[in-house]
Amino acid sequence: MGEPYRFLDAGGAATFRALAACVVPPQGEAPGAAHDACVALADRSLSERPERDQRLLRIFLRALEWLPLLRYGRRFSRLDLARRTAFLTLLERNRSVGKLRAGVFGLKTYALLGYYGSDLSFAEIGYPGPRLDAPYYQLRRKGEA
Amino acid sequence: MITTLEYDVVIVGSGAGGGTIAARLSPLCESGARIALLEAGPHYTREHFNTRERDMIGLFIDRGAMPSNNYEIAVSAASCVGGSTAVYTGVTFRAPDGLIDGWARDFGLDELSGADIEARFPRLEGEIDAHFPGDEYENANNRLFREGCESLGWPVKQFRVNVARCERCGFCNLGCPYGAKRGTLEVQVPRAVERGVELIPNCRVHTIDDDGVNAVLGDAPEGTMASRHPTGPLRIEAKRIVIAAGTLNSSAILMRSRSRLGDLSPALGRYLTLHPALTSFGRMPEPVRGFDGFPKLHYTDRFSESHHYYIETAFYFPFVTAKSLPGFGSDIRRFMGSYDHLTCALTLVHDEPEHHNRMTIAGPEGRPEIDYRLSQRSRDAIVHAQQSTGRIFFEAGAEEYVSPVSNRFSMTSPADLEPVITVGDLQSGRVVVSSAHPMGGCRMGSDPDTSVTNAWGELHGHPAVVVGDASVFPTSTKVNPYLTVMALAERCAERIAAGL
Ligand SMILES: Cc1cc2nc3c(=O)[nH]c(=O)nc-3n(C[C@H](O)[C@H](O)[C@H](O)COP(=O)(O)OP(=O)(O)OC[C@H]3O[C@@H](n4cnc5c(N)ncnc54)[C@H](O)[C@@H]3O)c2cc1C
Repeated sequence: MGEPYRFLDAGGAATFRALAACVVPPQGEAPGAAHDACVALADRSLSERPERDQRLLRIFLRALEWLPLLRYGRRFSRLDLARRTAFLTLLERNRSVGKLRAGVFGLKTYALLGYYGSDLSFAEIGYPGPRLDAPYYQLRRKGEA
Repeated sequence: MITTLEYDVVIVGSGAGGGTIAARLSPLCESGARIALLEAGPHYTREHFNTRERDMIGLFIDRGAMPSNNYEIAVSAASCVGGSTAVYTGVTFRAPDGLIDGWARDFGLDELSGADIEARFPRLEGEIDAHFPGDEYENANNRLFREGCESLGWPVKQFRVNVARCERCGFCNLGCPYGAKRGTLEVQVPRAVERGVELIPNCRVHTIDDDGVNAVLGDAPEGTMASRHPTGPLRIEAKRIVIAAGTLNSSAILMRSRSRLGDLSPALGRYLTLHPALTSFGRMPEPVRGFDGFPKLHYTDRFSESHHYYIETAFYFPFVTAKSLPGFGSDIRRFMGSYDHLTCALTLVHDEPEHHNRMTIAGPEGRPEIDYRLSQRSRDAIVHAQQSTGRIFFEAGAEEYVSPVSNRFSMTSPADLEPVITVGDLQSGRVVVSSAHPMGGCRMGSDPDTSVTNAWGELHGHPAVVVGDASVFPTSTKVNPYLTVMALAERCAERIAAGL
């Protein structure tokens, strides 16, 4: 069990994980944005957003969990991946409620941060990662020696 | 307990404006002047920059960007010693011909002249090693952009950049780990400190009055320089107060100070311009490795006059790249799988100053907020620019083009561009336009009803208070603004020095 989440409560974590899997789904053996380490990274960053943004994102997470009841008779986190993705696309493309579009954008952004901000994704995308010869790392290596 | 300190000059913010003013005033320390440079953020140095996107977003205000209230645009600026110069790319533009004289003419700024500002540029550039870099700086992303433009017959021009002994590692926007980027973090702030200016990091100014500032001094993050003063509330008395907290904060500080300063101009916070920006991507058959090498070298101004935008080369790290892709799921994963084959460029729109676009404050603590609506002209410019960028990339050989303003994930031929990228797809919230060039809010002008500061950045009715950052711009510069910020800041410093 990793560290407890700072932003997500248990319900929010289930919704976020379900959304993250739609944003970057697992591929074969390779994990996606719903991987524990990615969710933990996203949670840490979400917890560092200004209070106002955190409040809005919490409200949106709750709305996202319950809104599909009206359409599919099930909560978001209980839908299959295809339906969840279709529902997110619907919200993202809706023409009348900008706040819903923004909520999807906000959570999608953190799911992407969790995956593409993490070393887990680097090999897959051909990215060499940080510069390990930078003074930051040299100093730490010296400190360890 | 409130700690009270006393200085001759207190400068709020250590970015392009504040850092320049501190350096220019610092020789006065020799003759006994006491100058403090207050910075809300920590004093990170090159040894703190670990080139990891997920950690270095902590250098930015709100750990990333500040969204406008309608979620149409999100604005980035840094919060650390050096301000946004700690994370800028170092693209160095002189203000376009006629811009400053236009400001003087249109806003009654008789004491401001284009000739004076232009004369400052070569010297400022010399101080910060701004130069046209050699061919070795051109990585594949920049080369493909140039070739695409050339093949279309569009002008492609080079930027000056301000780097010295640059490793071309490409991490400019996460803080230069080698100290090669010559922003105020590396040049002006150390120079000012060496000559006796007192740098006080982690010191956030809340309000000001004609005699000083009220601030809170916070703890220094581990491993960063702490100030010698006790943490907690600070009252800092000074003869001259320079506000250089950047566009996102300078007008907010003044708004929070309304009850202390009395009536301030109704223009305070208004006429915000942002250079709305958006990245888009081409997927090439061969590896591009745009993350390797200096990210920004070329731009085209082909549509500057007719459609009000530039296209500049750019390349960003994996998360910021993915964030600009539309849709969900397998498309994103597939396209990001070609990250090392991507070309990338940035649309930069010349937005106009509009009365309703403004910085404002909210909540009991007077937190800054952005009220900004993209004008129809800017929306059209974004759409046209995203189509034009597609043309450049297809011309350069791209197999696929992705724009966030589109009704499908990607395009595979130039014929797709117009039907797929439309103004209707530029919906707030779904496409969040970005900005790294906030300007205005304390615009200069002679009329206190329509401007906040005079030609020297002095607050109308409060000559002891000077604004010395990008917020004094009456209009956008059209070009990347930091050099113009520095030139105007230098003028403020000269005026302050003459009056001390
Ligand atoms: C990622 C990025 C890339 C960029 N690239 C370029 C480029 O290549 N070329 C170019 O010309 N421009 C570039 N810019 C823009 C350029 O950096 C800014 O235009 C310029 O730095 C603005 O100067 P300033 O003094 O107004 O504000 P800043 O440089 O942002 O400095 C403001 C400072 O004030 C501090 N502050 C804020 N509030 C308070 C407070 N209450 N109390 C105390 N201190 C406070 C902030 O922490 C900050 O350090 C870039 C910006 C970003 C974010």
